[in-house]
Amino acid sequence: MERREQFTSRWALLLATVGMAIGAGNIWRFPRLAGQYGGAFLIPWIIFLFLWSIPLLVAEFAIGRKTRRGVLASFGELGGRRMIWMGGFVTLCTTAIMFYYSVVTGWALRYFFVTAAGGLSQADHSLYWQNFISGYQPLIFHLIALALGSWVIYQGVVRGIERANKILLPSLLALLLIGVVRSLTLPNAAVGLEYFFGIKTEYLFDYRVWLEALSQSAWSTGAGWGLVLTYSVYMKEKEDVTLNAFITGFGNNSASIIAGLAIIPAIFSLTGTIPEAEAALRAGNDGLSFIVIPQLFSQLPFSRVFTSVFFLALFFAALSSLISMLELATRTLMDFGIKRRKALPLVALVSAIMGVPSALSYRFFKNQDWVWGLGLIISGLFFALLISKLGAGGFKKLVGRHRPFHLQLPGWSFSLIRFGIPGMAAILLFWWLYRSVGWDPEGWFNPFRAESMGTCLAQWLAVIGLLLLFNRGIAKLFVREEKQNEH
Amino acid sequence: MSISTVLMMVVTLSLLWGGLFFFLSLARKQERLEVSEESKDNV
Repeated sequence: MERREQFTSRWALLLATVGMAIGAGNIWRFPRLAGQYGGAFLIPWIIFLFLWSIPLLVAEFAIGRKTRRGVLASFGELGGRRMIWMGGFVTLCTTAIMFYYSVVTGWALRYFFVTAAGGLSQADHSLYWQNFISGYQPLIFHLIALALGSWVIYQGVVRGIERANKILLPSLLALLLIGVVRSLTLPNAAVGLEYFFGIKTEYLFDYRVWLEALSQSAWSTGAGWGLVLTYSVYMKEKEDVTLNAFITGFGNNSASIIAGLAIIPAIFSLTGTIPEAEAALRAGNDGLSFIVIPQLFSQLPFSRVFTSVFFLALFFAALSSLISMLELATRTLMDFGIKRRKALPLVALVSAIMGVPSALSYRFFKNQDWVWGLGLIISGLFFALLISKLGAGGFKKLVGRHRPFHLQLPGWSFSLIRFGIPGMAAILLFWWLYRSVGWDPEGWFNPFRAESMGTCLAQWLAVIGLLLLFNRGIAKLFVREEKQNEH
Repeated sequence: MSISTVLMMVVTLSLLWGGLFFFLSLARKQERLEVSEESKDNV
């Protein structure tokens, strides 16, 4: 059996988990929402950090440390054989995201190269983007991004993941800080700050803003994705998992604020009028990043530098998250007894093939982002069900408090996970699916529409059906592996 | 900028960044305590 590696220190683990949490969503989704809804969005976003993200992060840290196995095996070990399919869903959901996330990482890399070379300075940005995503280049850059991430995972935990995050995370923060200084020194930057932090009471009492904030908290911190669990397999035995969860959650949200400061004032400064700035913020995640921002930044002196800094930051953020997704899939295969050096090429090959449709078809990409982004809420729900199965005593024991100076979770945290998270998950799922009916009243049930309720239900049910069908077989494989390990 | 916006900015930044630095310093403190406990055990 392969000897299990460990992060060399708690700081290395934290760099990896914060690097995992800070992804494209911090740079392209958070500023878009915070710029539109302002302080009325920030308040629920911070509340849900405590109600959704941190409890799930604590659970993931504790589960990984206890089982020392990936998501699938952890569900089997702690929840019993009947819960393995839930672990399978979490694993497949995050893996499905990885298939198209490497495409996004590739887009950022391509845009970094093209902006650094000055290739976008005179271009029609919208036309360039349309030509780019309908051509073959996204495929090449998807493969390059995947190769880079795979190379890191191939090196192992210490030489790969740890070393990569020691470079990526500080570099990302430095790049974002350059952006903050440039953005805040632009004329009329204060208008952007007014929009970023000003509280509009009509938004504060709008349930949709609260649900957007909960969605952002669920997607951005990585809570419930199984990624923190995977990294915790390599953590030291007697660490304070509660404190680790707080640092990961606060680190992610602090980075989001930095990204907001780098982008929102710049948008309000560089667009001529406030309605134009509002329209820019409604351009959608990739529309904002790949059309609006290059267009606006092209007005700046030294625009090449600042636009390429933005795309390099986006690339670093996406790559550090992609690395964690590759590790999740690799760890799952390693739990079946396959060595890292054999598991990783298999994961990379499958990811390269499965990412091709998203790289070549923007519609397919949107479909996968819709289906599996929403699927993450189900993943969070499954983690809550696993913790519920352990009971209050089991959860307390799982989290543990190895030293008197470790943080102690309040007694109600178990009830929050048992009742609060399933409640929030149910409301979120209902809201998003209900919204999709409004987007497409004619075809909301059609499984072949890119963003319909029908496509979500069809793909989720297909995956769940297959997992339930093979649940017993997967359980047997794990038992065999456990016996081999015992001998 | 209005006073309420400035107030919101100060509260958000101090809560998130202040919170992050607080938890990081707590982790540093825990590290020191663990080292001193281990050295006591060794003695």
